[in-house]
Amino acid sequence: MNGRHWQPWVVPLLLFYVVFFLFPQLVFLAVSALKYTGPGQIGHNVTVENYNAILHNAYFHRAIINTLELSALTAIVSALFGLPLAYTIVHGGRRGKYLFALIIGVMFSSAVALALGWETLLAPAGGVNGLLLALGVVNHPLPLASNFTSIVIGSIHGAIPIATLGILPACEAVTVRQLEVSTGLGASSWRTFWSIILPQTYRSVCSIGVVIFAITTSIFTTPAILGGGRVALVSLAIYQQLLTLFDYPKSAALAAVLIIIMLLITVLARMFVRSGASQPGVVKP
Amino acid sequence: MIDSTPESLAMEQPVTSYRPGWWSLQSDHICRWSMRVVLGAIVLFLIAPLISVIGTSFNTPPLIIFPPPHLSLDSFRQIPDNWYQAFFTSLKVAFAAAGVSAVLTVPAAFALVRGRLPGRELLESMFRSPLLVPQIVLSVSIYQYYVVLSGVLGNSFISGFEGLVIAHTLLVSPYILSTVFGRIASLDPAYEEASVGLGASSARTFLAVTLPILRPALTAALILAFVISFDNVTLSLFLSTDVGSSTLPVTLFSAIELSASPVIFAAAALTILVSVLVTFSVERLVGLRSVTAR
Repeated sequence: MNGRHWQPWVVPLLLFYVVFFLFPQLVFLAVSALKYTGPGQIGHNVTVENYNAILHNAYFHRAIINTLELSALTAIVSALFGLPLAYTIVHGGRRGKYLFALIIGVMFSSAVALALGWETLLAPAGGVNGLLLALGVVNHPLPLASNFTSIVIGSIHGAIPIATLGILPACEAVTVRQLEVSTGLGASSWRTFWSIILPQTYRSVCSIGVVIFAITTSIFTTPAILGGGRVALVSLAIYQQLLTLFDYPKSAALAAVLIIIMLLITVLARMFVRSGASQPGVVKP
Repeated sequence: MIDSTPESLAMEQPVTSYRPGWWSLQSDHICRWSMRVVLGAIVLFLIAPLISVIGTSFNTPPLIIFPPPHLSLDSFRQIPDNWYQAFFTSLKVAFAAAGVSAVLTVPAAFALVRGRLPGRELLESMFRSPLLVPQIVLSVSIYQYYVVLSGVLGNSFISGFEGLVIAHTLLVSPYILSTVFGRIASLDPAYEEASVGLGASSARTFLAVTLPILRPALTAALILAFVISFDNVTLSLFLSTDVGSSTLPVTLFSAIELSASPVIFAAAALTILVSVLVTFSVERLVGLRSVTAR
């Protein structure tokens, strides 16, 4: 069954990718270097104007900085949350099974529904503020809704399943035998964590952090709903340029900037975190 | 997960009576309890928005209060008809994208694994790369490509069902490819050789031997593809300029932008119900691990 007669079967998918993936990428890169001549139009003159405009505009600067901040926070927090979750799923017996179902359930839930849930919870009269007021932690409702904080919360929530699934294989590498030996030799739970669990999983935690950083730079649905139009992000700016202002060249240039940011971050992070990064099973930006 | 191998049983026998000190025991307790508290907090964090959506959906319109003062199903009854239409559009797009993608991808996976293709690595990484390109960039590029195509060909891809299916096919293909690819690579050719050796045609061998072996992996991949396409907002939002004929997530997204109403929560609660059902059926059909394993 082996051999050359399988070769032609790759052609349909290859054609599909060339026509609907490679060509569009080339088109948008080309458009990003063409002159803006009016809404919904693409000029013929090559220019660096679009990129220049992004480099010298305070709003776009703000958007880039916010995007980086959001991605960094999301990556760090969700990777840290992912470790205990992944560990419990692997070594937690029955509880682990339920936890796994919950993680998959959250991952399969529509980002719109989740964002809607956070929007109500974080509102001035919402659940979180109600709880904090009732407990006497705060005297006035905290400004949690329609700002950067709510976006961070929503995006961390969405990234936790990805982080957990990414760390899962590393936690499976920690065998029951190792844990038994450690406990049997008299190590405390802390000691077992520091000397057995952490050394085998931290690489995976770091690399999933990098992956989540890269994914979060382009997160769109969650901030579009939770930001209330008040927070500048690169992804939101792309949407605005393309579908509100119909500035095709500028939106293409912004998209190119987003890819450059993503690649730079990934390359830089890889230099610090050297490992065979385990790609997550499922990526849901 | 504790296996009762002879070794682990031997551990429990008090060969030498080791007694952990008081401090060590206390710190163990603290450790175990803090782990439980942390886990409990994360679980609460994970389910909070789901509960809030489902809870709020039982309000009497136009109230939006959680928890609702009076339970009512009115908001479910008031879901407009065109949202159900959007739901069916979503179903159609997701089925079509998963189907088209499987038809294109499975043969290609065979060719990649078995065909000794020149430049195999390059092809493989290209087929996976829609995962690496941010969805918003994918959306922008496909949108502008459709604009250019419409200029050349004269017919409008934008806001069309076909355009949406093409974009979603691109979105889900990497998932189907990597799942099926792994299964084909680990498939022992001896089964197929036996079938051919016993006189079966290669078509019959494929249908009676190869396909049944692939079925679990293919089922998992198709479900995953379906869910990813069904939940997608970004691509659908950019590629359907006429929101009226769009998918359910886009319809809900636009409704949220316009105004808040418990009817939106009711529809969102229904989508959560769908995802819970899918999760359960995955668990029953193929096991949750197979959807996430690569």
